[in-house]
Amino acid sequence: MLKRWRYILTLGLAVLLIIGALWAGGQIPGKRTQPTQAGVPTATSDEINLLARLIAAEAMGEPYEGQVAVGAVVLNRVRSPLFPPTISGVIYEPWAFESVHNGLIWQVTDLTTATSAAIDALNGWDPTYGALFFWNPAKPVSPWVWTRTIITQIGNHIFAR
Amino acid sequence: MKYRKWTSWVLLLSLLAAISWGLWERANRMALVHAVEGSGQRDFYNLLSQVEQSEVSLGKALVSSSQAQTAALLTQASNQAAGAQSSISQLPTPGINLVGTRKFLAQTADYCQYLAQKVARGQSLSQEEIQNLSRLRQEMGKLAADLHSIEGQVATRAIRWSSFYSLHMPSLPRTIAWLSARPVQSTPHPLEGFVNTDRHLQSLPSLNYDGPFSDHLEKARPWGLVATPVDQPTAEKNALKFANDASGTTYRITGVNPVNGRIPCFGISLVDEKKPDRQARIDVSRQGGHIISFLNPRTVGAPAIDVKAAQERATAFLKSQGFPDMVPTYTITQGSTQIFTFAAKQKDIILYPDQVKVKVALDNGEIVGFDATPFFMAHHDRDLPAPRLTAKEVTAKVKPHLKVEGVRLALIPTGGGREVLTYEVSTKLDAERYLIYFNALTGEEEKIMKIIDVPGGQLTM
Repeated sequence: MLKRWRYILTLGLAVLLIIGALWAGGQIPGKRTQPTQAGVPTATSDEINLLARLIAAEAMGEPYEGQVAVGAVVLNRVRSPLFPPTISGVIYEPWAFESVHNGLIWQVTDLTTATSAAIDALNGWDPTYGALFFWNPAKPVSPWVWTRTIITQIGNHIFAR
Repeated sequence: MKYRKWTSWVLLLSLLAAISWGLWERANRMALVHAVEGSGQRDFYNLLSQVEQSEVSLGKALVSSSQAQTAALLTQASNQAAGAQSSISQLPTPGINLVGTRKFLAQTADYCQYLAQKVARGQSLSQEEIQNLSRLRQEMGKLAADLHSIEGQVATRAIRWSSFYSLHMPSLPRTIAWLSARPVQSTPHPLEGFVNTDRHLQSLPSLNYDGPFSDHLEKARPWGLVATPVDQPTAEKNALKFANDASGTTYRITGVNPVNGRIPCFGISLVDEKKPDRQARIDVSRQGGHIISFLNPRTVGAPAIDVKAAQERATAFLKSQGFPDMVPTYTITQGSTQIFTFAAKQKDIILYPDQVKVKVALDNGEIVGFDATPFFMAHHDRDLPAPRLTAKEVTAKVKPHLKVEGVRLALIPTGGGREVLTYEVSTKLDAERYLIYFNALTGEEEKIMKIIDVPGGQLTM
């Protein structure tokens, strides 16, 4: 009886291992969903889509003006000598945005509100009046950011110059 | 005995499967590591060569005695410095912020561009500008030398760009591994060389000129605010009056946050008294209590009014809010809203710096957005000079293959925040429309804008 149990146990373990390997090998890459066009009006430019995607990934659940503010930070960076001069350069700068680093930017699907926010930011609305940085004080951040001049807090984000 | 044999086979097979899976994953990982390493190396060597070339171009520009050659060399130096700035900002340098180096490169690019345009207009460089230029060249040379010494580490792979992307061990095992006795910062940072260079570049004297990265712009202050400061109750009163007018409803204040940006404001959150799911945001300046910005993000239904009616609504709204003579300039449809850009007017001269944007919902004509930041940054009583050229003299300068469609006087902002009185000439090149701006005092061509027709409006580029 004991031997039979050992046999079943080993087989179970092997099956688990194989399933695990298959899952890890096949499932993880499959999780990288392709960017969708959901909610993006077809006539709008590529920049709106790029900005909306970042806003959705960075400011999910934030008040509307907080989403516009995240878009405005990207555009303020484009206009600043401290950052790359293009929207894509700013967004894909290494470690500039957590959602680009951890891949969340590729997983967002609902871009409806984020798209309106991106459009408002591109049209010049800037609830931060020139912020270059934002962070969530509840999460661990580089101590360096606290040396910046804080402009305001909107929702969960602090905006600074 | 039979069972044991089976067991060993199964165990052996699963071990083999696990090992081959691990090897496969490792091979995959190495492929990615090489790709990342390659892009880091590319950015570093691009940076190095662009900095070196820019130093050479700056030197040549300083020795050239031909105006045309100087302008071309300055443009070259500018492009190379801008390329270096792009490369350094994509270089993976975690935990350090190379603000000094980035700003130095961007500003050098901008300054050279400004000087190139000046030389191309036939003006010569002043003594001070030549001094600035040779100082920038010296700093560029120093930067090139510093990057060269870092290059040794890069070439011997003492700096490995891909290593910065590795995941950190969770803190508990890391503490155990390091026995918490070793201080975290004991080993020199592999990017120490960058940090030292950057510290030096952060201490450069400021550079003031007519370009977007000039140092004087960092201290730009609003011109258009009434001097007296207002207290919070007054700001709240102004906010409610404006928002109620805009939306035709009654709002209640849910929160007030200080905003200490270029225009210090009270950031006021509002909610519709009857519909609690409708929230809005309004910013009121601390100085003067002006409404700077308003956003009502409600969903807008299918359009029921046309663009013309929306424009009348926006114009009337601005008037009711006490704005001076404003004229609509550009408009664009965005979803079911229409955004109008208004500019102030002084004696038939369009003042483009004094800009206000108004967003109208096309379902019921409500004002759902308002932004007067540019207006309050720029607006003041101006003593505008009388133009020295006539409209006719200016249109004669337009190239003959363009069709002139109209001329008017316009005050335009330059990159460095100066204002120039110009003639705005609308022209057509085949089906494309261009606005050409000629200085009304010198006749010099100052700027060209292309108008792009999009459904429901135009964009300018």
